[in-house]
Amino acid sequence: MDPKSPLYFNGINASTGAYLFPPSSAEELARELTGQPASEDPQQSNHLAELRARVESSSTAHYGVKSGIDAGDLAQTGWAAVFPAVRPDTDEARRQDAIAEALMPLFELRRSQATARDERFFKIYRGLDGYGRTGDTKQRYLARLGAGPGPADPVKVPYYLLLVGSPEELPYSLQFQLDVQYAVGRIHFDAIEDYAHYARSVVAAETGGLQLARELAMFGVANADDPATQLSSANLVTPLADILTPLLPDWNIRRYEGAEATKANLARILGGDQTPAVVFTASHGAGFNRSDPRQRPHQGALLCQDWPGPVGWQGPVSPDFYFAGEDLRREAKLHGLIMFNFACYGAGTPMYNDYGQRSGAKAREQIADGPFLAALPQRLLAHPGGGALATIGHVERAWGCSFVWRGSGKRTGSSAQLAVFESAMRELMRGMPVGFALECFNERYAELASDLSSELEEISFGRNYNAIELADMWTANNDARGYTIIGDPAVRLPLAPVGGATRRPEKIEVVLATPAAPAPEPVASAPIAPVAPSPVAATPSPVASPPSPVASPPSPAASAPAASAPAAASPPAEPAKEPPPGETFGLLARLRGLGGSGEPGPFQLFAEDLLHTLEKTLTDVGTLEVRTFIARDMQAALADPRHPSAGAELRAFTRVSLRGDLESCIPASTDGVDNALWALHADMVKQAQAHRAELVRALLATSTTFVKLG
Amino acid sequence: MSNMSLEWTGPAGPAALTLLAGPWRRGAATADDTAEVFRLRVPGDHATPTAPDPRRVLASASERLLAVLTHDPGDAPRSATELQRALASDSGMSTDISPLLAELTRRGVGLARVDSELGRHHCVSTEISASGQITTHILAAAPAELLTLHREAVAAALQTRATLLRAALTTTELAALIAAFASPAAVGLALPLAWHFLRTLLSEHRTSSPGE
Repeated sequence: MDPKSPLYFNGINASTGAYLFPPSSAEELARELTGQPASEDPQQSNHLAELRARVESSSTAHYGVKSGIDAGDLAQTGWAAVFPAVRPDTDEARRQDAIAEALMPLFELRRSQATARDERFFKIYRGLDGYGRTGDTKQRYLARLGAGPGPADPVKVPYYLLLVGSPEELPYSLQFQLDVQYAVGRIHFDAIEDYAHYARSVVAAETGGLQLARELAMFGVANADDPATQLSSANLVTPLADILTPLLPDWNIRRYEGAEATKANLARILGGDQTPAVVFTASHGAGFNRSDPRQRPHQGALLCQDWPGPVGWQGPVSPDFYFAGEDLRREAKLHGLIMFNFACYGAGTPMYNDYGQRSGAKAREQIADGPFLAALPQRLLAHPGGGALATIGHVERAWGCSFVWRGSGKRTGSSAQLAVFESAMRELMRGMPVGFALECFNERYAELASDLSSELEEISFGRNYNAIELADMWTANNDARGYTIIGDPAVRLPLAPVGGATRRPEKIEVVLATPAAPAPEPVASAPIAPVAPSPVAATPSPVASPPSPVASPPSPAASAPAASAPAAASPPAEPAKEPPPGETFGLLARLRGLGGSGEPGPFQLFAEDLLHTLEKTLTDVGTLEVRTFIARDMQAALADPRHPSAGAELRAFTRVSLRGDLESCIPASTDGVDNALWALHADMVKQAQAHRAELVRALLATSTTFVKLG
Repeated sequence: MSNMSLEWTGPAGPAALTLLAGPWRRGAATADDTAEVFRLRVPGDHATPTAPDPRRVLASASERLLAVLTHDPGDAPRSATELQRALASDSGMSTDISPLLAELTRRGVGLARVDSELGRHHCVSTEISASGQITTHILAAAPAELLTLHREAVAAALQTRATLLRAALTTTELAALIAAFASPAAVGLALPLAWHFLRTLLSEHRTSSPGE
């Protein structure tokens, strides 16, 4: 290949219709690279050393977690959430409290799974343990938490780490660096209610009720006159589908390629009548100028086949050509979905151009007012009717070198290098946690970064270099680190047993220990409980509990067939059964009557009544309203509190949504606000919130016990 | 001021309820009370009394019982006879406490009102609905000091409600744990045994808490 031939970079500037990055030659790129001074940043040096160590240890099968640990078992790996450090008694701290409250069902679920053997395996890093105190770097932060470089040791810091915060609070660089040894995901939503939606979706998916068919949609766009998408269609989507089809005979792999890769079809895949368990897409991601108001809501949207291409379409790209977060329909049925997007900005956008150094400018180009997550994955995860569990996407631009390696096709006839994608998809589709499934991408990043740093070091001492190879290494390095998970890294596909009935409810329903048939199999139909710990069937419990009625995430090692195994190797599974109406779950069934009379005993009657009360209460605590009146005649005012008499005047009103949003109305008067009244009102709001939190905690704790014992 | 009183129209029941109720002393309900009423009567300046929060005892109850059942199986109730023996010292306790627990649960999540009176004047009233909505009526002439006391009274009332609910739920949880281990014939005694266990814990707490 001619070093002067152009390199194509994936991504379309939807503000202008041009490529996000003008094609340039490998020679130009290499010249820029070698002209850069060596990094003197000690943090970067430490990170490179760690990457090298990772490469050297990659011959073991343990990836990021230390030897002897089953990465699919949270009781062995541990799980933690990482929040930004905030000062107490600040608005940030209060917002964080509300977020933590909204995520409580997810935290309780993970706690129950991670602490089956060791209480130290579940952690919430908040307050002083949050990230972002003065001087924090990834290494210093881990050191503060008690961990040094090297494989994850769950006793010190758990392997699965959920970052809860925006990329401004928890930088992308932190996520990239932690990802080398840990399985890292991130969630961030503008509305606190969306955290609650996501927590409910994950808990509901893992505690039964959701039994997805083994279906994968491969969506490959190939726009006219566009080398980038034609490359990804021909060398990524098509061959990857070809590879996976014989390897996963239990899966129905549907292809939407070329003319089929339309926005209309994507809408059918994302919540419509063709929604599968897994979606893989390769397309341009829409990019926008910093000043374009569409940047925040549409950046990273998936440009579909509808776009006529760079020759057939000049000027700004119409929203009709791409699928953005706001294109998700309210009635979309997405629950349980995991999506992999190969697209520029598909996961998020940094504040500065990561590739700005190529321009030779002293300062990096600012491409956004601040770093942010793409709206499409946010909307997918926070869908109130039951959202996706995770999306895998790219921060910054995605490059063809992710799947094509120059010079590697001479022997085999194809330059496509799909082992990383294949490995990730197979791990994902056999039911492993998404954070673990993506470890091969982190391996690749570590390898490329280590190679690149060694190469640049040698070049700095005068060694001749190959421009094309160096450009490829640099591009591939930057590209490889950008793959990130939006969502909890411990989620996994809630798949129906092979040949079993599938179930994707119309909407998530919070039901507290609703009667259900005892489940004979680990994966079975069961009602959705808000906080149903994963019964650690494979983990010896200190208490010999009866079998749990709640479907657990299938243990890949125990229940999911190996991806390469023929279908016949899988024992035929019983079709999942719908719980018969009126059937009670295990514990209550056990409590039914005394001496086998079949009549409900007092305990059962009480417990059923109690659970009914709790369920009703939980559904009623959604929105708090606090009203404060001034009355001139208390007796008249209290005669009918719901309809205060004319003698009572509403002086302050506050509404607190479940997501923690506050709306307050204070009537103006010539005297200003009555401080004593306002102090009382504010205190009432605070107490109402605390009371609701206490109520929910108590109810969920009880339901957890019942579900555990059930 | 010593004349200040905190009254509560809570249910009559075992002595353990006295501790669960915190600083509130049982008072009579009026005929037209549709809600559980907490009443603060203040003749003048005063600070509301406080009481140790028994919720921590309740919170640890499940773990303690679980520990007993797990680590010392010899002590685990295995038969109806053993359960009966365990209950023997609990004289005067009905073996069916589910009505009491249901009552506690109902009160824990039901409608409640906190009234503050200054002298003979009803000055502040806060209603707490079943779903946690709070509505407060303040007499226009109510002094600011009373509003401060009222806020504390509401806090104490909410704590009591939460404690009652915790007690009911914890007892139910304990009963469920016991039922999971007991013989089928003894399952019916799970609730009273759990309540007995909880009362013991509360008694220990009362004994060990100064000022009780």
